[in-house]
Amino acid sequence: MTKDIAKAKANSQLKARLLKWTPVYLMMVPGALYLLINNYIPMFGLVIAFKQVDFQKGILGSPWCGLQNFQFLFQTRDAFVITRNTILYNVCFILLNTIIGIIFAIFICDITWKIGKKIYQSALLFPYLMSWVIVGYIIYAIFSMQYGIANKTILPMLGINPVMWYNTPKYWPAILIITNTWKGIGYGCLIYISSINGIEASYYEAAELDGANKLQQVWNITIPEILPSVITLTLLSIGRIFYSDFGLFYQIPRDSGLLYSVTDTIDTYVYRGLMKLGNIGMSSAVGFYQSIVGFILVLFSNWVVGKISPDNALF
Amino acid sequence: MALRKKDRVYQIVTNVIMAVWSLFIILPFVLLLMSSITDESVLLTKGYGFIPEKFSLAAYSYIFKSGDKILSAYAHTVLYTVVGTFINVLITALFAYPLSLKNLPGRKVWNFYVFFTMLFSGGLIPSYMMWSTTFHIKDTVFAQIVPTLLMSAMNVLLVRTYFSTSIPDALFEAAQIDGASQLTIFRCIVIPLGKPILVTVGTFSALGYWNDWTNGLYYITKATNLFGIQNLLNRMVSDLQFLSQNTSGLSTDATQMLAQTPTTGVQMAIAFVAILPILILFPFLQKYYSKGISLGAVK
Amino acid sequence: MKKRVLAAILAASLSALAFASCGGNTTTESSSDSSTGTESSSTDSTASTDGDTASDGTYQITMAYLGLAEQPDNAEVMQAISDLTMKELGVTFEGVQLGFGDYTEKLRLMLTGGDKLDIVFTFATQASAYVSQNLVINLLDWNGTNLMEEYGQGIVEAVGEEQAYGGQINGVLYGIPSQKEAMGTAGIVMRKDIVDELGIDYENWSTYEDLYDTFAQVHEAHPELNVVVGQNMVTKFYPFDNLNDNLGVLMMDDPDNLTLDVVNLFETDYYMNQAKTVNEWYNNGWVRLDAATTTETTQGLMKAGSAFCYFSPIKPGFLAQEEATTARELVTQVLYPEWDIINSSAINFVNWGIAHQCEDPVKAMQFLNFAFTSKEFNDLLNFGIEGKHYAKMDGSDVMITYPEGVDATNCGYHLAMGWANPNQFVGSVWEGNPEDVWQQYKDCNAASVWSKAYGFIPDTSATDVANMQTALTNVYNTYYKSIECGAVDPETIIPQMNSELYAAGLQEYMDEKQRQLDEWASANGVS
Repeated sequence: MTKDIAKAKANSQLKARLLKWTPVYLMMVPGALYLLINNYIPMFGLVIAFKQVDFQKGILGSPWCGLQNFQFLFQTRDAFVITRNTILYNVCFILLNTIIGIIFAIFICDITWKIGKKIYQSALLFPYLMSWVIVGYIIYAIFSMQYGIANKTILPMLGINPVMWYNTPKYWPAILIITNTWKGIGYGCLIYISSINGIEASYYEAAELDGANKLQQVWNITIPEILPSVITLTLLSIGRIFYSDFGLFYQIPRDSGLLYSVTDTIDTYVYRGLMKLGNIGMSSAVGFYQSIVGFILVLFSNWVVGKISPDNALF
Repeated sequence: MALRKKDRVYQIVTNVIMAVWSLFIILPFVLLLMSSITDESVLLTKGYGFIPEKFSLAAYSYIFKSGDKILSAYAHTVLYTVVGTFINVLITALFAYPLSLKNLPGRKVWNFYVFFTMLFSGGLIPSYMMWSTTFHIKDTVFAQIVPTLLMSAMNVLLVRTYFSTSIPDALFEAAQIDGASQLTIFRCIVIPLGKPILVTVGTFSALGYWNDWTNGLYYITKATNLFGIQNLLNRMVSDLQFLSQNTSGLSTDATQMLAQTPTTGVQMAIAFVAILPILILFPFLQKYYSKGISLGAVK
Repeated sequence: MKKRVLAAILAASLSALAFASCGGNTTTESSSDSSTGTESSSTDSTASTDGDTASDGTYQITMAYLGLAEQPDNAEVMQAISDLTMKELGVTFEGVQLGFGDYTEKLRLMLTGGDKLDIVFTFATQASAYVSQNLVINLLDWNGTNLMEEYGQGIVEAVGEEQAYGGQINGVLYGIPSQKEAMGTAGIVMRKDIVDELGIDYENWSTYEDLYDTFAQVHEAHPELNVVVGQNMVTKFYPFDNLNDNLGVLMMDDPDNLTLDVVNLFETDYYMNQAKTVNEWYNNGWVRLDAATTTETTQGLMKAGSAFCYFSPIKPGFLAQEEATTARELVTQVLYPEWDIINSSAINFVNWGIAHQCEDPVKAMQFLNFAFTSKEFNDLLNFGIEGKHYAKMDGSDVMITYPEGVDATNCGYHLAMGWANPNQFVGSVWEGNPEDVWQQYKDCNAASVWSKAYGFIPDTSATDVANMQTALTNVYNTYYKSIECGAVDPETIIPQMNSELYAAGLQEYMDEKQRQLDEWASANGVS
């Protein structure tokens, strides 16, 4: 008897729960379905990394070949250089884009001059509209050794001899980092702007009354409020730390061989090496390797974040 | 109310910094524009410059010689961008809202479900096989809208983060006590309050569609009238690159063809033509950004 | 005001939308039919375009080919070809035009993604990957059938045994080379106005050394000019068979004494000498500083008037065409005439074969045979429909040009890809070429010095070889562009490159090539 009652109670509770959450789950259906189709189903392709592909047998029917496809990445002497370049550039990009992005976002939100605000905000997004090929042309217009603005106009004005830009590696880390910031800063910045706009004005009013200065307000209100967005963005970037923006590293240095020591990354190396070979097993292996390293790093970072502030962990 | 002196200094400093940065961004665009109206022979003999030594609209007249093709490509790009962005923002918001609810059963699993897709991908070939043989989207409008761009896991996570931090839980509870359905809450609270982030991800999505040429490249083979503006541009650029890198192996017919294909000035002009509409439209979208919605009013 | 502008924009985008969606819809219908191939469309007047097998069971041949610009009258020409193949072979035809820049990606997707595809072209440099992954069918052995033997004898007749069977890797015949000039000879091309102005006497030149004084003279008289432009200046004139990738080559500087010994090109005197000469040019300011990174074409630079000369392969009818492209009067002189060399990659540039997913390789082979022998087919594909896109010139059977009232700007179809199409040698000759140009090409090719290893293409698909090749390619890429345009000092850079190449396994790689070459040689009776 009591059992039945308990059962009925549990049933009705379940019903209530279902009733409560069903509409919410329904909302998730389109998005979840899209990820399933667009991302999860094609993941069967990950097996290509471990196959000796033979298209007459099909991808799944091809013989397994263990880790053979991964070998070329590790037995080359360039493995160290390309891994180092990829990671160091990414660390730089993450730091710069986060710090400058936040600073600019705060500035733009604080600026009271309406027209200026509009201009600055639009300007940040403009480079987003340009492909790397075009940015490559612009960089070339500046640094072309014979006709570039740098060698033709700027350096003579300063009384400096022309520089053989595309033959001299030492300038390129700076050029690449500045170019990337120039092009990429807008993305994070816009997100931070929207986060800052979402902060309740009353917080600042209260702080103002307490006599907090600008810096204190930023430190005690703005930063903590946008921290979740910062963490989300950073974790996402860490997941892709073994990937590099192919356009940046290929189009900007114009594939100049003498610069490889500072411009070659995993993606450009693989592109050049496998373009001729056209072996999809090997290129899939690279992608798999990049993903798995990123995955481990994210799991770790997320675990650290979770230890410090559980609310901000991604999952 | 007069500004305090400290505030005025702060305003000036920030304005100067941002103005300098904006200049830093805009100058290259000016260079781009100027190179596109510089005579081709000057470009090749003297290099690029801010002041065209010899003015020429040849590049633009070249582009508009194939005028209807360009216009149709524009129209298509606009269509893909508008439709794609609308759907993108809608399903992103619908997906992100539940994920932002702290007591959603299975929340962590769902978050992971989203995040995992950002790390691992099966590669192009399996995607291609699926889209072309299972869904038959090749050479259809869907090819330009559906693959890859329709929803980004990144945007979902950003919107989710925004919802969960910037919209107070108390508001939901109050609404639920009032008997509001989830859909009502979504429509009347989440969407208006989430506007800043939705506009932001909408912008990214729109730019993604506007700049995309890969879908057209992979999935449009025969129906080239479905090409967007970037497909046209990219095709020209990549033809040129291939040819100039492989001249040694080509026959002279091919190198000749190469000499007749659009060169530098035209590429610059095309790049400019491709982004012009956005440059014009963007200021109109601006007002949606700047306004944070005052929560007090909702309360 | 603002509102009005916004409204206008909205209206404009709406109309654009309507326009776009109309265009979109019509193509959606017709193209989804042809890609699924199962539903046959009743509205379509041409039942032939409906997939692999139309309702009456006719097989459809789908062929991927290269083209630069989009052809407005493409559909019409494809229909004409289809009618032709229907009449001749009983199959219908569908062409898929791919651009230069995207063919690699697109063709790989079509091949691996299982699209309907029968006839494909393969670039020799990628052939090894195609063969090892079984993306193309072995024309010598398809399930026990020797397709070439049984259905391809027309090809053998048309291009000769040598070429018909030349595209083999490890005994797999992956395709038949498109017919073109092999371009063994090359020379210098100069602006006539400057040659006349400075009274340059060029007729006795034959080596790079002969150019030195003239270059100095031009530089002094016209300091604003780049004396010589172009890439790959060191190996523009080459007395070697590159064996597909320059990493381990056969030297051929003594035509009477050809060898089968694989050597390292970058250790030869030839390479060092040429590199030193070019480096000297560069240091004297005669070469464009950005030569290694520029994407501008030599012809474009000549046209713009920023260069005095460049090097180019030279073939019959070359000068007239080049003058048209650069819009200048030019003179040309062949250099290193004794290095007129033909190797496998000179002939096997684009090879035509059968895709692995082809459902009826016998029909496909019959089609290939037809494609290499039919004048009508090659003319249709290359120049379109007679009377509409081209017309015979007065008093000639082979010479053709634009019909009256049609020119390059308004011609609805003008692919002009003869060198990549199957067999232009059976087709018509475009205005401006000598009437017997095909015979001249053939004679040129025959008169060249053929490498002993002609017909041999190394198989680099085995994992360890592929790994070595990747590493070596990277070292090679690091240096070759700057060496080739003279930007670096060869005395220090070439030894450095060599030591890095050896560290990356060059010796082993060359040994492997040698082993395969020896094997091939004994199998084919070459010594």
